[in-house]
Amino acid sequence: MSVDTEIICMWVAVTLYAASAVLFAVSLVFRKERLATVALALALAGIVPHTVAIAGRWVRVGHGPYLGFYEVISSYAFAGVLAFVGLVVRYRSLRPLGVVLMPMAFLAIGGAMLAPKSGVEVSATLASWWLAVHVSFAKLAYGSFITSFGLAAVRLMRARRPEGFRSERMGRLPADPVLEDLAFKFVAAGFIFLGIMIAAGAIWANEAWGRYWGWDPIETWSLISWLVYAVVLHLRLTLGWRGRRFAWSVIAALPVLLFAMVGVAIVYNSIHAGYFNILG
Amino acid sequence: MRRLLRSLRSRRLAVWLLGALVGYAAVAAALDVREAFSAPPFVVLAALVAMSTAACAWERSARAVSMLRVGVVTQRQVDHLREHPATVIPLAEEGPRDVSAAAGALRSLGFRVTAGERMAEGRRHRWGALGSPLFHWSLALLIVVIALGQLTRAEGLIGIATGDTKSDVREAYGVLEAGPLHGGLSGASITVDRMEAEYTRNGIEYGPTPYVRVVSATGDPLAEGFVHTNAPLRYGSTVIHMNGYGLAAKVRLDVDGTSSAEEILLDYADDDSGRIVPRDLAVLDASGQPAVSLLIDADASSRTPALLVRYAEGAGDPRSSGAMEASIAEGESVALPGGVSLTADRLTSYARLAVVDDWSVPFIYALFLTGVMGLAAAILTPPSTARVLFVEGDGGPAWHVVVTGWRRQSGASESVHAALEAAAGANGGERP
Repeated sequence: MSVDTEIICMWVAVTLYAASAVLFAVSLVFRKERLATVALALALAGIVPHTVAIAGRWVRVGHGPYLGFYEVISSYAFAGVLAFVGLVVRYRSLRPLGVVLMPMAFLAIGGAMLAPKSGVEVSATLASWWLAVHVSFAKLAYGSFITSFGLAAVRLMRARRPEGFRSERMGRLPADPVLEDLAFKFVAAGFIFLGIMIAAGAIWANEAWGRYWGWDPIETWSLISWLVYAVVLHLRLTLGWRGRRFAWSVIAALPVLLFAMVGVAIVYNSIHAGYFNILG
Repeated sequence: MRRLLRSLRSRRLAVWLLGALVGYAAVAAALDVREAFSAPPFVVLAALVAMSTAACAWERSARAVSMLRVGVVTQRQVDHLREHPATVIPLAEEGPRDVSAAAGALRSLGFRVTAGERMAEGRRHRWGALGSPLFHWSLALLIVVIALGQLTRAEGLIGIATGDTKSDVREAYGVLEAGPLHGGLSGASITVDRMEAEYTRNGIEYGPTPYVRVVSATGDPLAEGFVHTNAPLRYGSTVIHMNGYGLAAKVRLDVDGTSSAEEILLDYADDDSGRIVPRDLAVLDASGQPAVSLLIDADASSRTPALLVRYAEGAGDPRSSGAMEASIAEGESVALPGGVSLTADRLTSYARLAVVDDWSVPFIYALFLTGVMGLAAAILTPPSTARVLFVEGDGGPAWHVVVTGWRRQSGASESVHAALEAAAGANGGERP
């Protein structure tokens, strides 16, 4: 597949995700149940060109979508939308989560489209099985934390205006304790995945460079993210934070994670920056 | 001591310590001060986190052991359940008058039940109780092992010309950092047998790659193979990594009839230009005064390697415009001021190897693995206990119920109560 075809597929996916995000919001505001169905269908439709673009690029550049900002963020958005659709198939009542998750997916893929799209070759350092482990668990971790963020955000939105215009749609979501339990489970799963990601990176660094930890900015901020989520888990499990307090702690943790993922490569001169090229 | 232990296992302290660690690391990372992570405040903070984690692990271990003791219900627990039940499920007139139906209901939910006539106790995922202590012990030990590893490790850079052997001794290293408790270097012989100019494996180009052989101080072969990125050479607790390569010049200096051999290692510049970084060399005469100052460079692009030598008499600057220069190929000599003669005996390549002696790495991996297993067990199989006591009180026969879980899952206790209410033939339990 040529670069042009790939970019066209990606823009089609961006458009469909954007339309899905807008329709999810409109369906919530104007209580149009059918619009949510259309929004979900658009999200599903967006996955098709997105899959084609990722697969075509994979074949063309000879490696998976894990090198460079464009590939990484696009694949995160892909995994996020796929997880959301899978979740909705399993728990139909979680459909309103699209109000939070689809705009995030749209913004992510839209941001990726602004980054350089040239392929990054697999260098000697990257030629390791640990790369696949490291990147796979990174996607699982980020996907879990973003989903927990969405669940916590919906939980807070419902708590904010229990009698408001959104109450009918929000009322169809599972009960607060179930949403909270799901958010907790996603945080816990993400915590494990992020830990494995950090460990896989450390093992890989030891194989490649002869040191498992060097306090490189991305290493440090990944560890900080892990510790932040350790605090979130402790707040719930040992201090018994429930309800809105727990939801706010989940919301507050995500910016740290996003900074580790996107911000650090922009702000710092990191050994990871070359592989996570944002500015070209 | 007991008071200290009680303070350390405080849940609030654990959260505050984690928060402090996050804050410290965030500030240090924001300012990009890597030295902050070996500074005393960080070491103290990490030590406190380790102690707090160990104290929590100790407490959780005791709790896990008590959860593993199936069917051991004390009279005190029975009395407590009689007087302070979490839920009271009234039994229907035609309903059961013991706990056998409750035991059946608990079994249907996957509980392992031990039941008498009046009391039934069910436990689910009881091995999951070991998950949290396993995770916390692993984490505490991980911090300890990392600290011990830092104190006992040694890491150095050693440059070995192709065909040469160097011993794993302090003098052989250009750079060596050894922890205060490191036991000493092995004395093993490290040989670079050859250097492949363009080494390719599985379609990946690794560039110049040395074939390294290691023999112990007693002559036993330890390891050998090509060393490149992602393919280090291992023996015992030592790992040899490829760090870089350059040109090696074995030169001979004759000063006032006295001959001495020198090995000059020349590195490529970091800018990928293929440029060599020249090296300065001062040659002293018999009285210890500078006889000639040299700047040794090389023509890296030439098929026939040659040394480019700029020189100035005495302590003069060989970089100055007035300095003289000469080019010498392998086997050639040049006469320098002050009666000095420089001969290029051998010009070849060299491998710069990073030799790391660190026993802690496999233990760190193993502890991390057990930690993840513990965490997964704690989260995926959270243990829970349900106790049901048959009581004939003033309000009629009832089951007094208490359901406890490691993390008080939402929905978990509700499903137990629903099953028990169905078994009791009751419309719904009451929560005092």
